[in-house]
Amino acid sequence: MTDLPTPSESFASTALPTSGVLPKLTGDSLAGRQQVVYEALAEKDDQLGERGVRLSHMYRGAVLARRQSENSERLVLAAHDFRELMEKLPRYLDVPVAAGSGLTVKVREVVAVWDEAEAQKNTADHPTLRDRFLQAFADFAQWFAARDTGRRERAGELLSRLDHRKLPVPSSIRELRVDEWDQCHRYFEGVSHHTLTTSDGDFDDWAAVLEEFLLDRLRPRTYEDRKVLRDIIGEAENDA
Amino acid sequence: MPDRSHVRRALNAIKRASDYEFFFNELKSPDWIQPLIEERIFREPPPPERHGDYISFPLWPESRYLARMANLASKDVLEAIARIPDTENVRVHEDLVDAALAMPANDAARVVPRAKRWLESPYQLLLPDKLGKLVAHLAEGGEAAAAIDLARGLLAIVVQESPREGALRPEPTARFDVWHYEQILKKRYPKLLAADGEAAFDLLCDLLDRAIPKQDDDGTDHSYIWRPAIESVGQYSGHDVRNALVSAIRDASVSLVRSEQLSLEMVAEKLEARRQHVFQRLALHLLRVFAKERPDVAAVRIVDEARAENLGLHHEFWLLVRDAFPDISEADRVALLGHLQKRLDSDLAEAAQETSEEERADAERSARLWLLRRLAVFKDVLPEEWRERYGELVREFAEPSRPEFLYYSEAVWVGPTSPKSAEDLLSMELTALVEFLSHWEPSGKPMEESAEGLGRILSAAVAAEPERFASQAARFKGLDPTYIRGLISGLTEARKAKKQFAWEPTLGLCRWVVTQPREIPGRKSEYTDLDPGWGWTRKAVADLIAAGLEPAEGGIDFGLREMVWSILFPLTSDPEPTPEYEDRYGGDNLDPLTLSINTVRGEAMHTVVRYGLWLRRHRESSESVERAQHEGLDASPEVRDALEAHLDPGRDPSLAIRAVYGQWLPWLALLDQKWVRSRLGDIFPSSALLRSHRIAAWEAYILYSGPFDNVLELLTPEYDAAINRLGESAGSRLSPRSPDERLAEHLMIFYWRGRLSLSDPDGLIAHFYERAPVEVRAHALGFVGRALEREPGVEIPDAVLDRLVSLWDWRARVSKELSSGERATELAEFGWWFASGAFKQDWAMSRLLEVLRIGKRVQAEHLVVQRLAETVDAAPGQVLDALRLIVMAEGEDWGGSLWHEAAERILETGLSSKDVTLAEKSEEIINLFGAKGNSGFEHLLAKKQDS
Repeated sequence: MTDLPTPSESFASTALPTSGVLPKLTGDSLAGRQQVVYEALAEKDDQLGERGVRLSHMYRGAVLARRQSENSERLVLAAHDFRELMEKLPRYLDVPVAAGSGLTVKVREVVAVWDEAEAQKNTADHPTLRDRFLQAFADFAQWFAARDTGRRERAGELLSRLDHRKLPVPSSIRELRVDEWDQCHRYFEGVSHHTLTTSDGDFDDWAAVLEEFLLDRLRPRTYEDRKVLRDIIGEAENDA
Repeated sequence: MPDRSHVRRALNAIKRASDYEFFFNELKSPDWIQPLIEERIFREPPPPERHGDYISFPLWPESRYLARMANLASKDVLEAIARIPDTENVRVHEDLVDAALAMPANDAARVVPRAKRWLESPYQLLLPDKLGKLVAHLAEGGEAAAAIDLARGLLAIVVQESPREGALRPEPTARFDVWHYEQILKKRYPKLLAADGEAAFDLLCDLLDRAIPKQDDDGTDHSYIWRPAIESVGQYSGHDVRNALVSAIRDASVSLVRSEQLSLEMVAEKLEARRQHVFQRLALHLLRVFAKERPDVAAVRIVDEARAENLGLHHEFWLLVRDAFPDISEADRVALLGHLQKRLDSDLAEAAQETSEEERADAERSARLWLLRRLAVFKDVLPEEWRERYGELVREFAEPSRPEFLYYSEAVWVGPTSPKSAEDLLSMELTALVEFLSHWEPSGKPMEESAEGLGRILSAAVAAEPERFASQAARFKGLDPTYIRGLISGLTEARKAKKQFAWEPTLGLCRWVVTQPREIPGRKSEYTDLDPGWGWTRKAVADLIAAGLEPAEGGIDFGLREMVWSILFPLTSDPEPTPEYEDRYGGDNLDPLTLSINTVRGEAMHTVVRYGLWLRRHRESSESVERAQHEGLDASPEVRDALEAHLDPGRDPSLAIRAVYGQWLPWLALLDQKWVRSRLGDIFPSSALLRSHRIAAWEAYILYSGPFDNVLELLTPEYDAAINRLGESAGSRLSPRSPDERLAEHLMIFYWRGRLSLSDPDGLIAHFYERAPVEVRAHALGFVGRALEREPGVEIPDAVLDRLVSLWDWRARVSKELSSGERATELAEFGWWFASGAFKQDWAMSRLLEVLRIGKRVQAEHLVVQRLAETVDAAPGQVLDALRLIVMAEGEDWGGSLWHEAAERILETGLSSKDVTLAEKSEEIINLFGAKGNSGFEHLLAKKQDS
């Protein structure tokens, strides 16, 4: 079980919606913020055109799955769609993806060495095979760590591509935003893989975090956000 | 008081790049610097961004903030600057220099070591100018040593090695452009001179020393050529680093003496201690400036015979003599004049050694001329006796012009000159003029009067009064072709200016010209000022006949038909262009059609077609149009024979000649459609061996002829073949248009006229869109759109608009199968269509939105937004949607400033609407502008809140 913080613990310094703020929706219609997110993603889909699965459909699927109150797997199903959406978005925006094998292939490579070692554990070759297994596992661990780093780099690149102003931001700011994205992703990944138990309330909070995150890029409320900054500056400078 | 928690909260609240920029722009207190340092904020200046061959330098809000705070907390700013890693981003350098400029000089001095490193960057932008200001700032603030240190780096001379052994070494340069170098020396350096005159002066001399390539130990530097006068008055002095330094040293030396920082002797000695002549000249110039106050110092140099004899010092030495002579002592005056006399005596004695009388006389003249040019400089202050001697010399040789210069030119040489003006020629009796042209001989010296110049002036005279020359044209027979060509060219000019003259005697002269042997023995050189033979005149004859056949009053009378042909026909056999000529001047240099109009045979073949059209016009007026059409080229067999003869590549292999057929194809079809049909395979041969001929004819047609309906059916196979060749032609370097793009334009025009259809699957339009690269397809749609936009208000028939709508809708539908990049490139041209206002608003708006949703920029964006503003009242929702998509697609090369006003009108309309949705759309767009870094519409939000 992964021990993940709740959104409000993660981003204590930013104003976050509390659980239960989402409007009560009925049927398969979207409204309010969800409708805006849906439209923004649909617009992106139109621009991306030929690239297959539509982001807006994934999002809509997630929201509708979440509403299936009788379905005990609703959060898992919804989390799966949110995770897919987050993982597909970089690819659709041409964020470079590291070449190489996937996780399953890599695990199979290690297992193959292990199986061979097991089969010959009573032979003279066994110590050599054990060494080979240890080396294979060490390689796997290194690959896995690099994979995680690559994921953060891709997330950073995604943020740059979603930003309307093409101005490099300092890594300290960039890392904060990558953290948000990454924690959100880990949450939905955990839920979709049944490795994280969650509640409807927490799920809605994380969904709201993701939605706000997307809207901040796709439908920016620039001047409201600047008011927050103005207030911080005013508070600090007036206190001088 | 800002602390780290404020910084962290702010960083946490920054969602996007524009917030980050906004945050630093909003900071008004320097108290943020320390907590920002503690949060490691000044550690990441953005590196330059390279995009292919281009490089850009992102701005850095942090360095801009530091520049703004430097006058409030220079120590903190210095601490922050110390933590900034070295960067190649010159914008960051500029900001930090701005910061240094805002600090007290003693703090600013601490930036100098880093600033010197920034100068190593190959990219400077405004940095040199700012560093020049910093030099002045440091000097004024008592940091002269730091200022000198910075100036030495800033003004350093870059000496490059020769590219290869034996090659000339490149001129020394500065690290940046000369204009900025001069500005720094003129505007900033005086502050440094005021602060530490001697060190600043020595630095300038060191720099000039380095800027002059070392050539001879005797100080020869040829400065009298690159700097004829130290005072820079009247004579050109080039804008280069050497000249900028000479001027700076000149002004600095005077300033140091005037301000009494250094004595006149000391400055003069500093200059004279350096070997090169230019320093000696600067010293002499300085002494001249102070000649009245200190004639004693001047006199020491004036009586120095070596200086008087040194041609490298001529200008400044003799001007010093002129200005100091009245004030130096009698003994010094006698000494100088004594030297002149001694030199004259010596030269005359040497002349007496010459063996021949002629050489002796020449040498004596040279000796007296030498004296004359020296005395002339100070003639006004000469003693009486010497003034009389000067008068005698002037009577012998005339008054010298600008004797203080070794060489002086009043003006730039612009071309061959004539011994007579056009007015002179027009005032002469014709007999006298012909006599003059027959016997006048140029000197043959460069830049003096030449036959070429006289021919040019004769041409101008003939163009002014053509009848006088044309009626007597026969009298010019026998003159050199250089003058005959001038005469004929003048008549051509007169004809173009619609002046009338007698054609029969003119053609008589032309006929005589074409009977002359083409080559003139002994005139092979291309560089003589006489025409190399009769070739150029033959070309001028073809030009004149072409002008005379044009349908304008005063043209050649039809009765002269035989005479015209008797001149034109021989010209069609002229050897030029030969295959060697085409190899040399054609290919990448000139396209075949351009080559044709610059050669005798080529121009003659153009004139054959004009001749055919001239005959046709006459037939139509004397018989009937139908009959003339029916007869075709049967009525002008000489034209048909000539055209057929040159279609045989065995007889005439020239591509230039083949291009003539291409350019005139619609007119040839007008003359005889049947003939063209029968010879189409010869004009555009399909044999691979003659591919170049086919291309030459086709490209001349497609580039230089309009799309006429009378040839569409005839040329459909050729259009098809050209579509198959799309993407293969590199086009001509001299033609601004590419054959592929022009092909697209022809097809669009035929489609517009209804001559081509979309529905024919085997038709040209379908074939074109199947084969054309995306850029050519985009050009096709853009061409239509620009044609519509160019003529607003012109009524376009509904049938045409319907056709265009069908074309667009078809392309929009079909392009969905393409990649998004190709689709966007092609459909982006809809900007022109929309901006034209030619289509129904509903259709145009819906198609615009469809195109914008692809997410890329549209063409003619500013015109689109202006058109949107015009229609915002009718369809505000759609207009706002379109504007939002346009803003979304805007790149960093922000074009919004072109349409700011129109966008504001649209946004205001939305904000003031009672429809909440429209107001929200406007707000969303304003926020989007803000996210892109354009805060120019924020005031609209405040205005809305106030209301």
